Amino acid sequence: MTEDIIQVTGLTKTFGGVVTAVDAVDFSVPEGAFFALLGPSGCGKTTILRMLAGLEYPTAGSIRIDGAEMVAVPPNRRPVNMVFQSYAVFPHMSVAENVGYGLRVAGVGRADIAERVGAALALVRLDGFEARRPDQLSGGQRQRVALARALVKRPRVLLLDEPLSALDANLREQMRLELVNLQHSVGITFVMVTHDQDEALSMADRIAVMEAGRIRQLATPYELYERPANRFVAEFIGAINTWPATVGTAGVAVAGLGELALDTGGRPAGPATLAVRPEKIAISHAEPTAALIRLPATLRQHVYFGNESQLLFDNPTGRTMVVSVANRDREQARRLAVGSQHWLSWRVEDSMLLDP
Amino acid sequence: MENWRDNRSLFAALMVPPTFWLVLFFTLPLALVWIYSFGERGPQGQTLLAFSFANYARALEWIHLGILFKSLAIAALTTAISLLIGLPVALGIAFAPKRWRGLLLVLVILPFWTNLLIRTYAWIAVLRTTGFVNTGLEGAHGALSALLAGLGWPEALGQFEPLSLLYNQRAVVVGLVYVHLPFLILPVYASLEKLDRSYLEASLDLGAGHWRTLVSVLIPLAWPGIASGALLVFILSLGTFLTPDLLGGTDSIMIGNLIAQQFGPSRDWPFGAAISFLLMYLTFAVLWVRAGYANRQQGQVTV
Repeated sequence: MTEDIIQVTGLTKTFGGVVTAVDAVDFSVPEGAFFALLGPSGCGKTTILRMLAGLEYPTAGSIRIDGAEMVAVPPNRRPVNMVFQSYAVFPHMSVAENVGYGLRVAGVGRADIAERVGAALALVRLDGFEARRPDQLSGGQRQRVALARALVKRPRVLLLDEPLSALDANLREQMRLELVNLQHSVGITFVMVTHDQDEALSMADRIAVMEAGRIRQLATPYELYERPANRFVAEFIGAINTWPATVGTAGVAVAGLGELALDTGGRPAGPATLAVRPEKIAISHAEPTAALIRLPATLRQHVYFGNESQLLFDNPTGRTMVVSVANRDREQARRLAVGSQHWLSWRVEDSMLLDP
Repeated sequence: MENWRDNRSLFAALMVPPTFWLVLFFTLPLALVWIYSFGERGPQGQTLLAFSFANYARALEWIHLGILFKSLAIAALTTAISLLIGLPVALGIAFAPKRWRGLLLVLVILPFWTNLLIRTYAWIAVLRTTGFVNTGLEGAHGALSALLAGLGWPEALGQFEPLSLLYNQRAVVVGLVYVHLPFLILPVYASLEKLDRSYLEASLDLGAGHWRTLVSVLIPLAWPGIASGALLVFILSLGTFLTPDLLGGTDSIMIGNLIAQQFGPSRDWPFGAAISFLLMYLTFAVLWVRAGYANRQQGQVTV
């Protein structure tokens, strides 16, 4: 097995001696991965990215990139390049001058620069834009310039700070796919910071979910969504229904649901949280079989998204439940009228047991 | 909401006082001086209205052009030295911790709270033969002489000769730089302050060192502020008359002194008016070139 390209241990950043932005974080990124740092604003994800780039000096800890210790290395000597959130495309240089800047600084020959700039612009599909000025470009084109400018340096790791946040919704969807394809074709390790869980799930192959300067879970998108390690991750990634529960010897007791025969996974007796994702819940008129966890409910609100609907149900547990259904035929949304009575059910193995 | 500028009568009403003020105290006096510049000097020094270009012809004589060229050279030198000192200072303030910036800016503006005349006299106290610089040097000279005498080299340094620091062109340039430095620092600081730091970080990230980033990214992006500040210093020091009057010697007369002389002791207002307008045309030409340059830049750069 090859060594991980990024190895971070005990990384800590304190601002002004009082605010701990990053708190003793450990993680590593395998070569060629698309790694995402995901979390709400202020969780320290951008600070980590900036420390990887060398733009922020760690208070403590170690950053190894490609086997070499990086903490004392200034940003201009690190084998990483960054795509800034604002793109930071130099307004006083043409597209070609922007992309070639890093090569000119490194003293690469004129002919080489022209060739590599051309190749980099072709990679991001901006051929023919060489002479344009940045203010003649759209937001999406400026982002491509920033990408080409970073990739032309052939970094070991490409850092992306909220790469899609400045784009409008349609372009964002399209760029997600393009960035993933770009990463596959260049084979460079990508580290992306984002606050958008959809973005992280759909693009990254490993995600670190952060809260208050710590990593709460580091896993694949599938594991994060289906097997969250804790309540914070479960609630941050996607919608979820939760109930306070009590783990006993026979199973799990939940007010309004009774005693459930759940696999407690070695969890000690005591308080816990039962959780289930909204799309795992089935809606029926007839009472479902006893093999399922089931309860009667009344539809209180119907939130229509076109392709799917989110249904809010009043039920005996006293907690409003969210159920999402795909609108598989045109009439389905109309059949679910507010005030109608239904049975809600889900399979025991789709339940999750989390910390209280 | 309605924009107050769309209300024509309100707009007109608000514009009356400044217009009145500008016409009465700026346009009219200027027009008067312009008319004078074509007049003739009467035998008692009074101004006779006429239409002659004799004053302009006289202003373009070599002896007067020489003063103009020297003034241009002094203004250029002042601007260059101000840039050398002002750019690092503005950079220092712009990159100082936020809580320090306000205080540092106040320190830059502080001298304006004292009268220019007093500040210039203070320089006389610093630079004259028995001023702070010379007495300080004399003290150091005395101490060093005593030390060398003690080591067996009496009279090694000889008698102390005070440096003549005052009443020459150097003193004028020192004074002009001192007076005009804030006019350079403030616009440069303003343009650095609003500069997006991610441009500088991007430059570092792409492998450039601090010097390269300064030259290739920071200065080009702060150029509007640098150019405004330099232009301000140049124009202000070109028209100055107080500083060369107080700190300069007999050969330090600048174009401003020449003008002041005509309106004062020489009592030749028409000639003074003609030189004034010559200087003004020159200033307009510089501003026009700058505006043209700025317009061309506008098409390319949006900072």
